[in-house]
Amino acid sequence: MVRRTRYAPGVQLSTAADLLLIGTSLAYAGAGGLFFARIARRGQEATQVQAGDQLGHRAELLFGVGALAHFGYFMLTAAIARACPVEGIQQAASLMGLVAATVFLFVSRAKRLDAVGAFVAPISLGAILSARFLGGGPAAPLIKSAVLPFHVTAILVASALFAVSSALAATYLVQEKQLKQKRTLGRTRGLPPLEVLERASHRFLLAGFPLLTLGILTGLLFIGKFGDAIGRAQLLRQILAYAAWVCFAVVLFMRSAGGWRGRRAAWGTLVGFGCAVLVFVVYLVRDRAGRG
Amino acid sequence: MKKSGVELCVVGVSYRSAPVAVRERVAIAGDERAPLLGRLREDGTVREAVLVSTCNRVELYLSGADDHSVVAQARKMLAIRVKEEDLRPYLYEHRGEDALRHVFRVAASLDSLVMGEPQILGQVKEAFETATEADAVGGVLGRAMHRAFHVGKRVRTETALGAGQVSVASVAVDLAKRIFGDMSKHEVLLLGAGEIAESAARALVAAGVTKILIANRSFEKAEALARTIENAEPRSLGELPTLLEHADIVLVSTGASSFVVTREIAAAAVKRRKGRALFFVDVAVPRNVDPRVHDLDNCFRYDIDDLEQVVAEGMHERKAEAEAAERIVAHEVAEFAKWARQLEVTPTIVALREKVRSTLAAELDRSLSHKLKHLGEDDRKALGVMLEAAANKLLHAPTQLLKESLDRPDGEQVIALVRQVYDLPAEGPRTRSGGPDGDGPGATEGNSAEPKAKSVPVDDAAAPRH
Repeated sequence: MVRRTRYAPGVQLSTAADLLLIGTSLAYAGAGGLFFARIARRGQEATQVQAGDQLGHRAELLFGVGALAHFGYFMLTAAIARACPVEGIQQAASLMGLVAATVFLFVSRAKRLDAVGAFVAPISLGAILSARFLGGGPAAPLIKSAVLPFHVTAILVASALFAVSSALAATYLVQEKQLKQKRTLGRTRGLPPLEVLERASHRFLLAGFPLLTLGILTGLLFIGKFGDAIGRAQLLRQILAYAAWVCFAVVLFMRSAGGWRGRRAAWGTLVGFGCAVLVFVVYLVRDRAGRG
Repeated sequence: MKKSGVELCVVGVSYRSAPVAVRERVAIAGDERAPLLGRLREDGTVREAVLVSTCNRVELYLSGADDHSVVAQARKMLAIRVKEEDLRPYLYEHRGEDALRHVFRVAASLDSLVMGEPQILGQVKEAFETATEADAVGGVLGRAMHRAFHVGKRVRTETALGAGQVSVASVAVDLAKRIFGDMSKHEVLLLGAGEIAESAARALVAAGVTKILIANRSFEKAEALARTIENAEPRSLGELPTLLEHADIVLVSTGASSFVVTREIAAAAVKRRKGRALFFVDVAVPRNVDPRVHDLDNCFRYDIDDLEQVVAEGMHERKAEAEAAERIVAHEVAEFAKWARQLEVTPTIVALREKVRSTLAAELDRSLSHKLKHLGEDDRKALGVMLEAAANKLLHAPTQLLKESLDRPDGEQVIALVRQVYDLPAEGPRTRSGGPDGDGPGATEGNSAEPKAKSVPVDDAAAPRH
């Protein structure tokens, strides 16, 4: 059964939600800037290292504040939409950014990976802004099914894990490039060690892959339920989702069987995540166009 | 006047002027140094000499009457195993204040390849001790060298030039940490037994590495070295492919003239390692690891030039410290040069005061034995003190004039005029006696007192005393 529940034209998000959105965006952007400053911090004297660590802690704190504001925004908009938070694509996209931020914050504290926040913060910021503006605001889902929350939850948690994995892979590529070039090592002293980045990226990929598989399998149940008008968008989404799955599968398999640990694995992860992001984009654009 | 007054020359080659292939031919072994210093001073051209010979520099610090002859003599001495004409393009010379500045910069580790490294001061001190034992050090060089040690100490204590990562070995450890993070879970393979690689291996143990394998063509040497490094085990070089499969950090420093680790060997190792990162530190000259190894995925190779480049990059971060150190050197050079110039005018000041005092003393004696013989002991003492104070006040102006003449273009004429006005005896040949234990800068190493306070004893007398 297909159901369409949208805000009536002219109805705006509450001022509180807008303020939370602005607060979240500013906090994410500020944290991203601080994370970048932490990476670029030069010098390795004890005081300089200490200053770099302090910068990292401040960035994490600001990112945490952003995540809290994001959570408030998410709950408020879900309440306004009167929909289960994990049923609509807008909420799911926003939640993906929130979960990525939360997962990163936990891992960062444990593994001293704060510099990776320079890549996670833009992802979370992009997720909340695209969900709000690209998708035209929160909306209830187009279809109603008991399986849908599981499908969306699996996809969004997997996407969040891939987002963190990709941020780690991107950080890996920056660090690896510095080490290969040999000439500019002083500029990125705040980056974590290569092997730590590679291992962490792999683990997140490994954790997200079964969830993505589950999401794709449950997604098969909804094929054909959107009607002919959105057939092409649905097809594109499916192709992109499968492409992401194949990318991640190849990276995981080749790491285990063919020793893909360096650049290739990192690029494979990034390409896979790029496909996953495009799935969201296609969803959001379609939703904004109102063709489904 | 405005001349330096510093009778010092430096002749040598360093990493800045000559590649290692040249430096190693000029290097003077420890047991050759004292005889060379003796030969240098044989004909009297060179009065004093200190020879510093390290892996990065071979330098002679010299003092003698004629700069040109001294430098020519030094050039000859350095060209033992290489033709003088071949060596000439790599040699540099410094004279006077420039030479002094160079010696101070060397002692302060400002001229070192790894700026701020602590070894150089010890090496210069050792060179000075060798020269002292060979009786090749006198007043000029002795004072300059002691002052250089003082400058070295000042730079280390008053700036952070020596803080943090400064050696090639520690750069290797830093890079290994950037690749692997926690060092405790990684194996290190030491190929060969070069000094830098050994030093890097020790630094890695200090950083937490728990297993080091040492492979050498001579198993006995590997065994001997393994006994001196914590957690080290000897291995045969024939096991290289297997060793590369397990070791994550490979320090290479063999005497081989070709690649010990070729691209093929490394690629095969990377494949067997299933892509685990592999880090080669090649500190051998000629290089022992094929540079193309660096192109392999997750494989990193740094040679001595790369490491030194990273070290140099680190130097930019200590630019402010280096500038502070340069200021210390400049100040010390100026102070030393001032002291050296004061030696030019000191004999005139001393003669002037002597003349005035002796004249007054003679007149006082005559008066006290004739017209003033009725004066009691207290009055005689009071009269003596009064004349002393009057002499000091009268001498203050000409003494100041003489001191200021050091910085005046017509300084020599001023001195001649004063000598003429006061009818001072002709100046004898100037000597700089005293040696390292005498007065002036460097008289006591580590004593930061202003040199002028000691060097011109008449200063104190210039003020009236009551």
